[in-house]
Amino acid sequence: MSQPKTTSKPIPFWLTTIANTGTLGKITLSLLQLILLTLAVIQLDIEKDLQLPRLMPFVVVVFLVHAITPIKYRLHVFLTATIAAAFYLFRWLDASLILVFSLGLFAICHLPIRINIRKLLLLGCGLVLAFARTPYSPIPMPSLVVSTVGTLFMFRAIIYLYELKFEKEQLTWVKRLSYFMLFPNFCFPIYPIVDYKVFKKTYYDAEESVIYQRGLNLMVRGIVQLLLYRFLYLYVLPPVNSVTNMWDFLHYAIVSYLLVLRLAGLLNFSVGLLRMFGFNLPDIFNHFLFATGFNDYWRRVNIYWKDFLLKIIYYPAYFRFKKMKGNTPIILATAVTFVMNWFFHAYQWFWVLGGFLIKATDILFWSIFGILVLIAMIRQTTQPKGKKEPTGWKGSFKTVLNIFATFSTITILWSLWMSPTFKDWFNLLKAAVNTDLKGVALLLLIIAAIIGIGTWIHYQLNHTWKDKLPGYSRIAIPANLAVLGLLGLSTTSFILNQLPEGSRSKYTMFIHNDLNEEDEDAQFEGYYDEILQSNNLSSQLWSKDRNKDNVDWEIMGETAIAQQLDNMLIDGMKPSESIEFKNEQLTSNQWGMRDKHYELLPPEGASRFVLLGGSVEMGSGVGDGETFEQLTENELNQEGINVEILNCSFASRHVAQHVYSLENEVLQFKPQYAIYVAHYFEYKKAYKNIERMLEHGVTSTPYPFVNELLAEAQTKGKKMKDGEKNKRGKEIVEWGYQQFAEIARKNGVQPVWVYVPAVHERGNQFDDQELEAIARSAGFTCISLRDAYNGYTAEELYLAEWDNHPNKQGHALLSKALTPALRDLIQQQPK
Amino acid sequence: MESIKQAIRAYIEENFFQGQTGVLQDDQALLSSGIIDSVSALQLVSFIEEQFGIEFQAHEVDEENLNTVDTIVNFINSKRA
Repeated sequence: MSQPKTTSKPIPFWLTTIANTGTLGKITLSLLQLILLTLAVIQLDIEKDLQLPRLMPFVVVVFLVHAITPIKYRLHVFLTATIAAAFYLFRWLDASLILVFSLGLFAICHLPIRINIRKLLLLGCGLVLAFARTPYSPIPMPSLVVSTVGTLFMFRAIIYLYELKFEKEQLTWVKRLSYFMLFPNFCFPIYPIVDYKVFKKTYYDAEESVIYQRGLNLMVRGIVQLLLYRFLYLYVLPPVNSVTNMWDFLHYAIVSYLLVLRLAGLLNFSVGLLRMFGFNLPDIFNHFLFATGFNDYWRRVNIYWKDFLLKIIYYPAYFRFKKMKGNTPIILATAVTFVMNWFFHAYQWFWVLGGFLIKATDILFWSIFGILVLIAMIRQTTQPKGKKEPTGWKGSFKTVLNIFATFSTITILWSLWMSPTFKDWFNLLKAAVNTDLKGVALLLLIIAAIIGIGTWIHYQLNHTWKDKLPGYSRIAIPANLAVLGLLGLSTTSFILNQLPEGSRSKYTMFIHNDLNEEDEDAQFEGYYDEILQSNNLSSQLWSKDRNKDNVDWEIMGETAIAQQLDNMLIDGMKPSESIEFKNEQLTSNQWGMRDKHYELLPPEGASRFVLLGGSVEMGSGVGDGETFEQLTENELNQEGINVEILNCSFASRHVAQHVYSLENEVLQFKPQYAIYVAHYFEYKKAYKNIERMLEHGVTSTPYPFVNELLAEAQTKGKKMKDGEKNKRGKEIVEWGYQQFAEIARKNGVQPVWVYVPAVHERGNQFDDQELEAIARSAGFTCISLRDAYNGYTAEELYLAEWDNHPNKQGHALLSKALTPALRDLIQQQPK
Repeated sequence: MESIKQAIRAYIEENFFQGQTGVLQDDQALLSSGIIDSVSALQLVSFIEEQFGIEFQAHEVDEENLNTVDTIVNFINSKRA
């Protein structure tokens, strides 16, 4: 039980020095920490997709103005800052719409009509806004506007109307409006559910410098958590399909559960930011990883969310069932609360991302968790009053055992929540039991060691070290300065230069907050929409999708222009069709190529190329005539070089299929040159392509080598490790390049290998030299366009935040780099 | 008023302080500190309702009314008034 602590510790010299500096000195110190924190956020690209590095300099300025303004007018400054932030962060039209809708919804809350009618009106407005986001709306509303207004009002309007009914005190309009218009919310769609009463009660309820320091401490904690998350996400999280035995499962389940640190970091940072403006809100988490039971976990994790449910659902439900006997009211109220808890998660997801989250695994997760909490609650109500808890070593042992049991259960449950389907989860569990007696014994030994060490630490913390360790508040300022200084230093070129060449690019990934390999692949290959249907709040991807404006981008293979093929190509393009794809016109010629009309045979005197590639070369997301091959062809023809480049690319195709396509489809066009386009992660993609063939029922091809791989993939399935797949991928590439070049040469065609970089590739992130060496030894003429994007950021060149295919500008740059190379090639050719 | 306070204090000490007496201060935070959780809060509400013949409404189960012995006593008195 927590007792009020008496402190007799000496006050550190720096605390007394600060105490003597007066208000101005203390605020200057807060400002200094805030500036350092801002620099760290910018340097480390913290939550770049949510615009945090953009927001932070704004926060510094507003903090300064706010802090020197007389307290009476500070809310005015805060509200003005919110309006300014809208225009600073968003396009003026979006900002205006956000503010107009927000004011409209706020006005509805105060209409002089019955509160239930106001609730209905708000619900109606919510439905209209939600509809306006869909492609069916006659006046489509930008997703960003709907999601921002939604996140401002989705929970706070419920609490506000609930409280308004009972509110006795008179509040200024500025304060009321400030409750909704919390500008950090613009950047954080997943935002703490700030309670209205707490918001009112805690506003400057302590000495201002103390509130600011609490805010800074929480923001630093938030940053550290976000960086820990980033580390786990980039380097420790294994791909789910690599889980084949108990150890893999434990690795995957624990790390994927710990990715919840992102949510903790975001929410802590958000609460800390509000404290910088006098809202002395309580902590939102309470060491939830150390919960001693499910009831305890529920109390410690996202406390604001729990309090919201208690206020709006649990207590009203309890009072409704109160007259029933025994534990029935508590059981029923808990059941209703957990059903609503699931609903509110889906509801939040809907406002943030525009889609309802209805997944069997999600429902089961919350049901199991609800039942576990309920059992814990019933035990709590039935246990004898005033029961003495064990103390000393026995007490520490019991506590650590409870922590371990709770953590393990939540971890396993979390793996269910992260799984898109039950089948995926059962596959994980099947892998989890794949071990031998030795493995079980080792696991038991490790568990015993963890509990033993944990018991010792718990005992020391509560006995030997009790009152000897300083609380964070006593070391906060130097600790914050040290942490922020270290973070800043870690991003300098000096540190980067100390790292070995190989690990430099990996570390750059960390600094720049990139996607991990699996998510990057998914984004690049157009599987993103499917991924989003999962509830993966822990992934880096969801925040990218927030700006996805009324888009319904299909996967190429599912469009009307695609047709199934009964060979190893799986699918291709229907001839002479035209569709709108990713908001651009995509037309096929009479041969089923995404290209203009060509005769079967090349015209007299023309140099004919065929180009075999995937979605980038097909021109995913750019209009007809805007692909880099078309631009190159146009440019060369304008120069007077008679050239035809036939685009034989199609989304998701890779090396083995290009060999097939060259041999069976392309040679009929009698090209002089056959271009094979290579990209980064070529090995990985080569193997993935084998798996894709298998998924589409391809078990036999004209190539024995590919057949062997298909058979192996079918037999080994998920048991195949990433390393082995990469090895196989390299073998496929070596085989494929050899085959491609041989087939080309045998038919009098010059094989040309072209390396096209990805828009987000940086520096030496991918070693294309090795690929080039393979291509060269196979007999290709090699052209590398790796520097084509130099001087441009990924943001300038990708199609959208959620789609890394190059846009028009990207294609233009590729063409600019390819044109001289092809010109040289043609000119070197003997007449 | 003192008898209300004593009854409340005795109940809380018995149920949430393992029966230790004299450890609870009148202004000690109960809800916000986590000493009393949502289930315990409802048990406390039942106790107050039975003991002092008042009736709570759902929105009254919060820190404003239940966070300390003092606020509980004030709430009971305001309900009785």
